Amino acid sequence: MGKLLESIMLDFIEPCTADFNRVKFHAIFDKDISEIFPYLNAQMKSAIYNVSSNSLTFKKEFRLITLHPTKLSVSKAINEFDAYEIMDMVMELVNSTYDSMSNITPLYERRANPSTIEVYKYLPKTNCKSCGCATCLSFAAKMIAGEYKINHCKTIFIEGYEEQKEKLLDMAQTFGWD
Amino acid sequence: MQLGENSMGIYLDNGATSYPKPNQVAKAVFDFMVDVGVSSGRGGYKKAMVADKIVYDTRKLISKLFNQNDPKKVIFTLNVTEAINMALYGILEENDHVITSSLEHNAVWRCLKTMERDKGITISNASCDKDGTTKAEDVEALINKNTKLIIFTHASNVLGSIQPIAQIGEIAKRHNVLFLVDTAQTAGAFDIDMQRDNIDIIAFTGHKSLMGPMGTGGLAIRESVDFNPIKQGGTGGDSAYPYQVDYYPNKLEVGTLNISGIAGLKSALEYIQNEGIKTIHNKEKELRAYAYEQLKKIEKVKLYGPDESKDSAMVISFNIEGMRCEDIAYKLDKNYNIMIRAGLHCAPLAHEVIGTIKTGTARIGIGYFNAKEDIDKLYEALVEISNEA
Repeated sequence: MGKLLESIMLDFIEPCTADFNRVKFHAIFDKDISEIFPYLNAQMKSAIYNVSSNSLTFKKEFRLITLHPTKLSVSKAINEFDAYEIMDMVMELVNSTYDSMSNITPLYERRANPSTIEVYKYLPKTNCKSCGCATCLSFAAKMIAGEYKINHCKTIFIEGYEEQKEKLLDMAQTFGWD
Repeated sequence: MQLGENSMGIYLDNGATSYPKPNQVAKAVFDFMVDVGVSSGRGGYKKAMVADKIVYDTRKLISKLFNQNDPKKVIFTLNVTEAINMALYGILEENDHVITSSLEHNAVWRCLKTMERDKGITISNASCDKDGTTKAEDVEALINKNTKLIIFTHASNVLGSIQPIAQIGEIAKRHNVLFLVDTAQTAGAFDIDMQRDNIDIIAFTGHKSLMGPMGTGGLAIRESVDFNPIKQGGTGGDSAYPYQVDYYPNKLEVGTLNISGIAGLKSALEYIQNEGIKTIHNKEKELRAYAYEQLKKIEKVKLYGPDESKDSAMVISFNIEGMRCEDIAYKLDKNYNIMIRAGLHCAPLAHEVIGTIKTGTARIGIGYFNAKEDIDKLYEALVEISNEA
């Protein structure tokens, strides 16, 4: 079948929000690759194929990698070199899957968003209203709906909430709330 | 491909640096400086990322060239001397024992002697014959309980003799000793394979047979090998951390890289990949053999190192009876526009082996862009010069 992706261009890189010693970056695909997502979903058992954001997220060790139709988002990469290695890996993954499409049965099953309660579990539960919502529960619902982003919650970025913050940031990237 | 015009005359000093370079190399340097021109690292803008990608791609090319398998452990330095210093000072500690050849360049030898004096390491030299041939079993016989490292030149820059790298690599692996190869005279013209030959660290220079610009070189380090940095400084990230970071490549690279040089090196590596190491090697081998045969015919010329029947690096050292080697080089340049090098070539040990420590030698270094006609002109010039001697 040939290649689907010819190039991935690094677009943005900065220290990771979750872990300041790591980096997060975005890169642009030279074309829309979303046709390949159900095939990747079939091949990668631990990948999360998300319906609302039309994205596919998987982990490479500690790195969180999300494929959007025309963009790559990665958090917790080690450094610039790691970013380029991940881009090479994604290029190889996309193109080799594209090449074998006729031999793969696509999996259209998509993981639904987490419930409001599942998200609320990781919020501070202080109902401080700094985000503008009356309660943490309503903030959770609004974040899932895409109306609020994680950085609207000032409390989660205070020292002592690192584990919850990291979990919420991962969920935001995976389910396209960022 | 249009070669450089070589208006300089006949260049036969490729052992010092290769000339000409493929045109695309100079173009790549120029294009980088004009069209990109910025530093790599976390610049936050597209051009910085373009610069980053050039460096990344060059690491991959070096990794592939040496079958190294871990591009993040391809480290860029100013030259192979810096690379060797970095490795030796990063690896060796007091009471460590090092085994090396009897032919080493001062890039290795001065470093080791200084560490012997100042850090208390001990050194053993494996002996070689007058042609510079070393037996691997002589290296093995020198290993003791304190042996930390074997560092060997792949080929003598004075004699051209190839050292038994593959056999030494196998010995080093069996004895759990690190093995570092100085490929200054061979990278780009010889097939060098870190996995096949059990090499732990390769030191390379970009500007000889790799045909890149001066100011490039580095180390290719096996994935499992780690050693201390000798330089500390900015790495483009984690700036608040007060110590040198421990992830690669940043652990061993600090400050601004010679990115315009690396852009040129990238282009050179692509050129070599396209031509093929085998093609390059065979051409140079043929020319060296031809040169050796021609020089052999001149009665007053004394040749050193392996003869035309042996594979060797592309240098030939010689003297003319009754003449100083510096005068040979001077006359060749002044009267015939032929460039060679004369002296000890920063490798006193090799001259001890062939008995020329007081006189030095004249040395030709053949490159990929030399031709049979260059050797014929050298032959004619040396016939005339030797008749005057």
